[in-house]
Amino acid sequence: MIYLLFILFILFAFCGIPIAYALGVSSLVYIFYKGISLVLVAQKMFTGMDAFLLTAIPLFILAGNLMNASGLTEELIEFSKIFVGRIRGGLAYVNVIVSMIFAGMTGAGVSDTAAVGSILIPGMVKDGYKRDFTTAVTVISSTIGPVIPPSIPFVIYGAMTGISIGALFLAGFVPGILLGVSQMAVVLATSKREKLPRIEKKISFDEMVIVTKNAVLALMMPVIILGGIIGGFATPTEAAGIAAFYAFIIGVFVRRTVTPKVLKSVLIKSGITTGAVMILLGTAAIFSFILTTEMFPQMVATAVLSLTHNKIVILLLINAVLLVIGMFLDVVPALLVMTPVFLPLMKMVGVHPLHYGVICVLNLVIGLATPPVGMCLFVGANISKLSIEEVSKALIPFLVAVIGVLVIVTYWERAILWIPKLFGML
Amino acid sequence: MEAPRRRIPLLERIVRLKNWYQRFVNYLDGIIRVVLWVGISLIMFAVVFHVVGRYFFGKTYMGTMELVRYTMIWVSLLGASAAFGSEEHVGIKVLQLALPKRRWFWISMSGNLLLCVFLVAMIIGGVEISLRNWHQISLGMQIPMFYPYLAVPIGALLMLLYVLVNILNSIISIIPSLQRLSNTQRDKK
Repeated sequence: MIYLLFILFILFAFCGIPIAYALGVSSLVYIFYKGISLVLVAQKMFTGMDAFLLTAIPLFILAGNLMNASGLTEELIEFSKIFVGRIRGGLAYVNVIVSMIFAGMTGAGVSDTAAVGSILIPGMVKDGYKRDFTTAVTVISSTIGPVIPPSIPFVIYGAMTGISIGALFLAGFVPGILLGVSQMAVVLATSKREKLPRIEKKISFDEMVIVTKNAVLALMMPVIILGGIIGGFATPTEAAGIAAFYAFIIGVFVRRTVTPKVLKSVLIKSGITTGAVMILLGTAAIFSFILTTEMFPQMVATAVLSLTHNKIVILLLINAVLLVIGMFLDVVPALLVMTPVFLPLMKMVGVHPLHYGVICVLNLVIGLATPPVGMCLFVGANISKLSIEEVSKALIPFLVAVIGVLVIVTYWERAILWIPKLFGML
Repeated sequence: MEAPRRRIPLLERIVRLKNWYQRFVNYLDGIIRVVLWVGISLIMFAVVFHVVGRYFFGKTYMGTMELVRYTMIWVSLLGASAAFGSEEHVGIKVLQLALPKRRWFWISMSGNLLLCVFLVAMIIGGVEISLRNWHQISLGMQIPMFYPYLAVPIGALLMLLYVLVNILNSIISIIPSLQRLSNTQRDKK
């Protein structure tokens, strides 16, 4: 019966039912089969969405959208050029660095592809970069978004498992920076081989000062969020609220790029995106309730442990499964479905739940950049007017590098846990 | 375009009905959007109010957190319904791209009907749970829990209305004569 639940879910998802509802419809089949009251549907959905921690989600979405609408992306690009602009392949490095800073403001990947890509893809192509390489850099670097804090997947993982969101955010730093560095290493290798262009114009000191001054407004955002949470001044929700308010003030009163009309559309867009994410939490709550009542996590654990007790092998297995799932499912639904399934097993073999959270999100995030359903890949290819195949081919070296990071993150627990430990969050 | 219209007035009536229905849903969409922007602003200002209250006045109002949570639930369910209109829901589109249009039509149609069954289940379960909580008073704001729970059936009802638009549109797009009619009507406007 429980396998049927999964099969139905996959079947429904392929029939064009949105993932959130495919979870609901397959759960409904079980509910009808067992003759359970429909109140369960409404009740589980409601409780799945009803948590103060989760209110950080609309606020982080709003903060990112407002920041985007205030037009600070271009300033961040100019700012990054100060450091790497004049190196060979400079704009490709800029692309990665801006994505890393952007990741410090938003918790999702796709908004980054859209914001950075729509400016940098045309810009880089004009400067003589190859179109497929340009798109590949943009797509892969946006996968850093949900890893470097703030991160919506981490908020959800924290709300599901009760692990401190502050600790999760801190644990995301090292993997996020490793992702950026590994991607820049690929750019470096390519720039040697393909003679990537460089900007000849020198940036004067005065220009540097102006550019930095302009970028400071945007750079303050991660400081507010992280400083608030880590310093213990604010809960994640409060930090998200202050960040959104800060972005609101910047956009409406300081930069004045966010007119009342723009503001309204940003608010509506944030509301719709919130809905699309939160409904997943609702329906996934029904689905995972069924999984737990049917003791599915225990079944998985026994099945895996009957094969091997070797932690290294089990982690390898889990990584492989999550990578494949990430290729087909978006980060949030995959996280919601797979966390209750794998977490008990992980605890049994002695993987720290915080460590597992980072591994899981990293695996799933890679799926954003892979065919057949990678969201960032689709958005990137759409901006550059290339086919998915062309971009995917150019993505291969980057994916190899990112999987290398995944291996490090999986097997070197200390590298992930030392920052949360340093701040006394563990 | 004059000839086919005289021959199939029934079809024309169907298209007109659908257009009327579409306008109705668009009107609802407008209302939902207002609720969304008001709701999201409310969440933001309430959280800021909460923080300011704690730091500057040393006071917090217990109801704020509850207000934020329940507003979010309403925003989420209404936002999820509007997401059908703006196609924000994430789905797997591999088959849609690979299959011929007609075969995909039948597959997506059965998918949509199953989706409707789920939404109806949400409405039934939601109405029941809301009514059961009529006398349950919330801790913070002291309101009946009926109102927060009501978001589930209302949200589901709105989703159902949006999904029906999508179903009607895909039926029209698959029948050539209907599509032609629908196009000429749109051109006239």
